[in-house]
Amino acid sequence: VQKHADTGMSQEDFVQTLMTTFRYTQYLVKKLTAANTTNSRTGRLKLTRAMFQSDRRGRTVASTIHIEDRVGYLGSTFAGMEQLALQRQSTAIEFAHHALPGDNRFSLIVSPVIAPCLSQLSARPTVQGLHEMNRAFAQQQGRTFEEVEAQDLLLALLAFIERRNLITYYSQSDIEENATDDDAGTYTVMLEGSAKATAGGSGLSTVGGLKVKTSSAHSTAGSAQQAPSEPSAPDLPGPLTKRLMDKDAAAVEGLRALGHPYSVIEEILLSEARREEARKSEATKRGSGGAKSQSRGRSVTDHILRALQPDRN
Amino acid sequence: VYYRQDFHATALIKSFYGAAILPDILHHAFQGRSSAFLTPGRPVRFLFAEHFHPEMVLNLLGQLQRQGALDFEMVVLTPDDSVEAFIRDRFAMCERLLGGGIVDKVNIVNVTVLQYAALHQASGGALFDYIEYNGGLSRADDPSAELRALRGLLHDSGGAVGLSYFSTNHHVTRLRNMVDSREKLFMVPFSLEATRLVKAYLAQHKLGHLAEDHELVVHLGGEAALSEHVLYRADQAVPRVQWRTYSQAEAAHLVEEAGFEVASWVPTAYSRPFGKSPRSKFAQKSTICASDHALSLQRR
Repeated sequence: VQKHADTGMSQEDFVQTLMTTFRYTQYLVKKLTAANTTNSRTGRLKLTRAMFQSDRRGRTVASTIHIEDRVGYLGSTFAGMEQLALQRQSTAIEFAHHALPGDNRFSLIVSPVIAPCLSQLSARPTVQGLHEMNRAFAQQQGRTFEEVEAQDLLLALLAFIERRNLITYYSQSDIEENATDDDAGTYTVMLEGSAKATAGGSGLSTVGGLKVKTSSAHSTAGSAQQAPSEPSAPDLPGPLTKRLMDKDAAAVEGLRALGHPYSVIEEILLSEARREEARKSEATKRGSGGAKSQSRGRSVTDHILRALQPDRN
Repeated sequence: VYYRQDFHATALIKSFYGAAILPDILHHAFQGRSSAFLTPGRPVRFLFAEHFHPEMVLNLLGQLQRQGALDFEMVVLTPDDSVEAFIRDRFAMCERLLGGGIVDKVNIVNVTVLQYAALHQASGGALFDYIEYNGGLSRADDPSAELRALRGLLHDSGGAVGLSYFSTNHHVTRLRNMVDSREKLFMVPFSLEATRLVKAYLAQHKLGHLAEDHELVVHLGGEAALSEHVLYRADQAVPRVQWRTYSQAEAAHLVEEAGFEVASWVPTAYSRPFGKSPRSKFAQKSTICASDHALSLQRR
């Protein structure tokens, strides 16, 4: 900006002409009249340290917010860049993405306190999960771990990459709690300044600039007052998935950690089981041995699991 | 595609599918509150308002299916028969995975946004929770009227519009000037100069990854690229009008004039996480039926 300011270009012009993109995407909401100012949905979800504080049931807001990798390669890129930084004995991680035309590279200086969790960014972790990874790594290494410092560093890094559209925060548990938990209520995280607008909310509290609302599922304000007419079905493992869990629990857990619902895993296993059955019956007709089809069955299962895994390249 | 990244389907073909991506809608328009959007106590209603990428219809259905948010209704507006045929073809292809119940929730209507808004106003139909309007500002004959029509179709609270359009920047200006001042009589009518010029320019400015975004290349090449598009890619739909670009101020004015406010404003992210994946070719063909169908394709 300074370089272009020297040539007489204002900061606004600089941003408009040089740092802009070829397409804009906007999410619009209705502009409401002064008499009806209940619209509080302006701006993105922001995270503050207060979300690490436990409620009376020992849960934290940070454990309900997942990180969605918008570009799909963050985890592996950070892992690779960390290795490169180590080789070069550098503290900086260089990064490139294509959200902006022209200057699409930036470098980060990441504290070792939060570096351990970065390779897991693509695995849909929770904010709490990332923090605990860092803590576990520090304890494993026998280092002191300052909770507040680590939380601040993690939130600052997440805010940095979120502003570059590399990640999106996503609260899935919000739905699950509404559907299954009658007395505990839902967590709602709002931006500073939006709390007043959410009329009817009960138990609103302010902790460190973050508004944290704990309210009953049936007393949620606005259109969510009524319980859902058809609560979403709980995602439970099917019989085939259970069988696979008995044989290889780690594989199923790995897939779950990557965000695959049980229903999807079950459906594909079912489809493969049918195919395998058809193959077996065909092999029996031809007089081939059972051992051969059994070995093929195992390889098919392995094949499915490999297929479900994201591209590790 | 049962990858966790599939919500960001743009990655698969390196062109922009639109904004109907559940985590993004929740994050940017609802501050991450899933229940406020996906379980409002009535069916969630989605509208694809004439200007959209047809793949995104399938992509959103896949997202909703995986979320277990099956209490929804979807209306797809398109006056283009080929778009309807494309979607119905995909439904048939993915019938086994989607299930009849999900397909029944989608209603494809052969009208424009303005026609639908007039019909909707006359009949007093239900309002929508999310409206996809991808590229409408750049392509519509009267974007201002369409925006006002969309406002009438949206819920007062708990509704959001996903809007995208081409932006003005110095690259667009320079490219248009270069295309206009090129030697137009050279090898007429077989010259691909405008398209090649745009691609070369993008490559020289570290924007080579955008050269495969056909829609963007045609947009940057202006009238000349359009005529080349008509000559050499007659099998694809031809844009009706020259696509407009907007500065931030122009877009903000248009949006405000139509009675909207911006909940969030994001640039477009391009990426290619599937670049080395052996499944990427299939993934380019379809966004949601990758399970048994994909496996059977792989075996062949």
